[in-house]
Amino acid sequence: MTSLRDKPIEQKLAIVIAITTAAALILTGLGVVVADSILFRAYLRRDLSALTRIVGGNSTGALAFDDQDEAHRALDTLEARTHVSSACIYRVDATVLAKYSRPGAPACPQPNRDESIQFAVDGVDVSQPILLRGDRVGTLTLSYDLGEIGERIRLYGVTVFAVLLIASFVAFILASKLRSIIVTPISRLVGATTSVAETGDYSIRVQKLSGDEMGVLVDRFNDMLAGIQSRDADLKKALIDREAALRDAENERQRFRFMAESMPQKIFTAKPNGEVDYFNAQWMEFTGLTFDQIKDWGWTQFIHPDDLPDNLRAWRRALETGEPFQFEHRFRRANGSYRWHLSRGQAMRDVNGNITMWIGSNTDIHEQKEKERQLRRANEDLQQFAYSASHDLQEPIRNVAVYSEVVAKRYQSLLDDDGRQFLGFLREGGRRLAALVNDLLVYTRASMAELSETSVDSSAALIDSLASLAEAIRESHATVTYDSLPEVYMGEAHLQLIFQNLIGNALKYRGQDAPRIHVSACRQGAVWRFSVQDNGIGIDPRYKEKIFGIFKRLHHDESYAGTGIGLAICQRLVERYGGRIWVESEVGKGATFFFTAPQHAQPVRSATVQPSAG
Amino acid sequence: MPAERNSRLVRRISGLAVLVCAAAGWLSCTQRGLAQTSLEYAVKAAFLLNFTKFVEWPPSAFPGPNAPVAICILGTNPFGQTLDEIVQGEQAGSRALIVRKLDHPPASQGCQVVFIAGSRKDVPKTLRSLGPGVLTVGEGESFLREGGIVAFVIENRRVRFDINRTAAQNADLKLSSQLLTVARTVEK
Repeated sequence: MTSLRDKPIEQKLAIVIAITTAAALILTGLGVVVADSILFRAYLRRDLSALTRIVGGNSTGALAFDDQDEAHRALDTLEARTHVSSACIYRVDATVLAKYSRPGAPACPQPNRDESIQFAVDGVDVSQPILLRGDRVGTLTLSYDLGEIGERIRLYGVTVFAVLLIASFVAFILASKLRSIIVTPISRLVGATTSVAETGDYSIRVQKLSGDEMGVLVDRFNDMLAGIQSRDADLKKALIDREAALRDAENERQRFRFMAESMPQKIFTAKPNGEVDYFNAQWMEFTGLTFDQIKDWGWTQFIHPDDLPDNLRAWRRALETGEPFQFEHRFRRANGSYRWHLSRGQAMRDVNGNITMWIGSNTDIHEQKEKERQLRRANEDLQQFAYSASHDLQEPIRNVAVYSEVVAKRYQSLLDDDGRQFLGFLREGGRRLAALVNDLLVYTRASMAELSETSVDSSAALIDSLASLAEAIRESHATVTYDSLPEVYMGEAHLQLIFQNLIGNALKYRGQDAPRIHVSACRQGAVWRFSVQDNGIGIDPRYKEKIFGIFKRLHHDESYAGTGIGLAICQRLVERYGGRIWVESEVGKGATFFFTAPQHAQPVRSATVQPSAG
Repeated sequence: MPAERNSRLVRRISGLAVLVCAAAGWLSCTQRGLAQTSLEYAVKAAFLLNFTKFVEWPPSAFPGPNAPVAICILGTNPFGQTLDEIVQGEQAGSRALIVRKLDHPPASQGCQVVFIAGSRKDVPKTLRSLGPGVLTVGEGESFLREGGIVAFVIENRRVRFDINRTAAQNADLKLSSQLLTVARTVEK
């Protein structure tokens, strides 16, 4: 079967047709032979029965009158039946009246009592009683040669064989005919596929020769070729485009590399999973390590051990959220010393918003950092000094004030006019000095105040500050109104101090009319923006910045009392909480002070933004 | 039992035939005279019986539907008791067989077979006196010329018979073709 499987379809068809034809013919032949031999037996049985009855009937006279000649004549009629090999007419007493036999034929069968036809392999024995008017007058026995059956089978065999030869010839012709019907389209298809495979030319089409499955196959094949052709064209175009894109990308990469290498800064890029896949030459130069040593996560080895945990946390959070990151940390140089760097990173995204890479720069901020540290220390020292000074000064100043009052009460009568005047200057100076020192202390406290990490209801802070200003409000007949105010993350005392200073100023610098002050707040991004609006004398816009300076006063006359430190305290507090304070005003049209306060807990001491002082 | 009867009859005939054949051979040389005569009539008796099986009579030939077939011997009886013995228990179709010995020609319907011995002189007259429906059997070739239907003849020392079909037709008898084929000659 394997050999047949590999033969061409044409030969398969011929073989299949031949086998089918042969099988059909052989089976038909066998059927005919079997049916014929069954029918032939039945026929033979009837035929021999009839034959013996006729011959027997014709020999009744011969038997009745014991006429051997006549009996022989009756038997001689059997000569025409070539297969009757022998026949005998027996008298009733089983003696032979007449006998007929062909040369070499066996003896007559013995007579039987009743009619009998016995089939043997090579012949049939018949025994037929001869009756005369119902009386038995003798018996005819006959031996029939079955060679005829063999002859018939031979004839059938020859016929079947002959028909087989003819059928094979017809099958051969049919196969040749089928070649044009079936094999030719297949051969064309095969030829087309071969030439497509060899040349890669998808414009080849197969001619459709029929409307059957082969035709459908040809159509599908052509459709498929058309599809492949267009896809091939698309593919070629896509390949060209891709090559161009790759070229562009390579150019772009080269340009990026060139830029990155020529930058004084350290530059790196990382994969979306955080593995660093590029460091520019400045890195290797700085760290004295090879790229292979620091790529992926190898860079962690030159981060200062104190900075590394926070650094890794920040980097991982940036990788998760995709938000830009910024970090200050120390890198180890080749000589083992550490230098502060500011690292910034940003995710690059494709059109779908998926992160394709991270790009980052690392700027050496060591000098800057050092200066900042020195500056901060100097500032802190100064603040410490101011606080200590104002704190320590309070005691002697209070003594001056108290004792000048005591002198004024007890010894005023002992003093002359000049003395009383000088004492008046002394008392006034003492009071102002005490107020100044007190304010200075508040200011330095504000500068050093610990930031609150809990929220406060700003309306409660406002009400508290109004309570402490109740006297001044009553005197000036002022109206203070406020909207509903939010919760903010500031110390309650700090917020109260801010309100107290701003409202106190509004009361102080009032115009002709009774003061009308309104406090409100609105959300502005991540902060609340508070406003304190008044209808006072207003401020010349030229002095918008100046008024927040310490000891800066616009009015030096006595009509506006004060130390000039209130707004400086407000600014100090607001800025401590990361906010801003400013004023909008025109002369004679009142003023509105704005300041911002955090909506959420401040990321206090967060290393991502504020480097530690160490 | 018809089969038994048949076999007995056939055995008898064939036995006689053997004897006839034997008589035709060497045996006859010594005992010709006597043996020949008795054997000859034994065969003829059997033939007479068998004739009844090959002949069809018209119903008018019988006095009644159940009447027997009567084989009549007119005049001299050459058979002795042989014919009686042979016919004993035999039948011709549905009819019984009887043997009658007559001195004068029978009346109408009295006999269906009439054997006239060859010794009788007034054969033509006798034949004329017989009506239709009677199978006439005689001896010698002249019997047919005289108007008989069946005539025994001796040929090659064998008993044969000749048939006159015209006479048979005149007598309103139907003869079986088998009878005709066995006959030595058949005259029209």
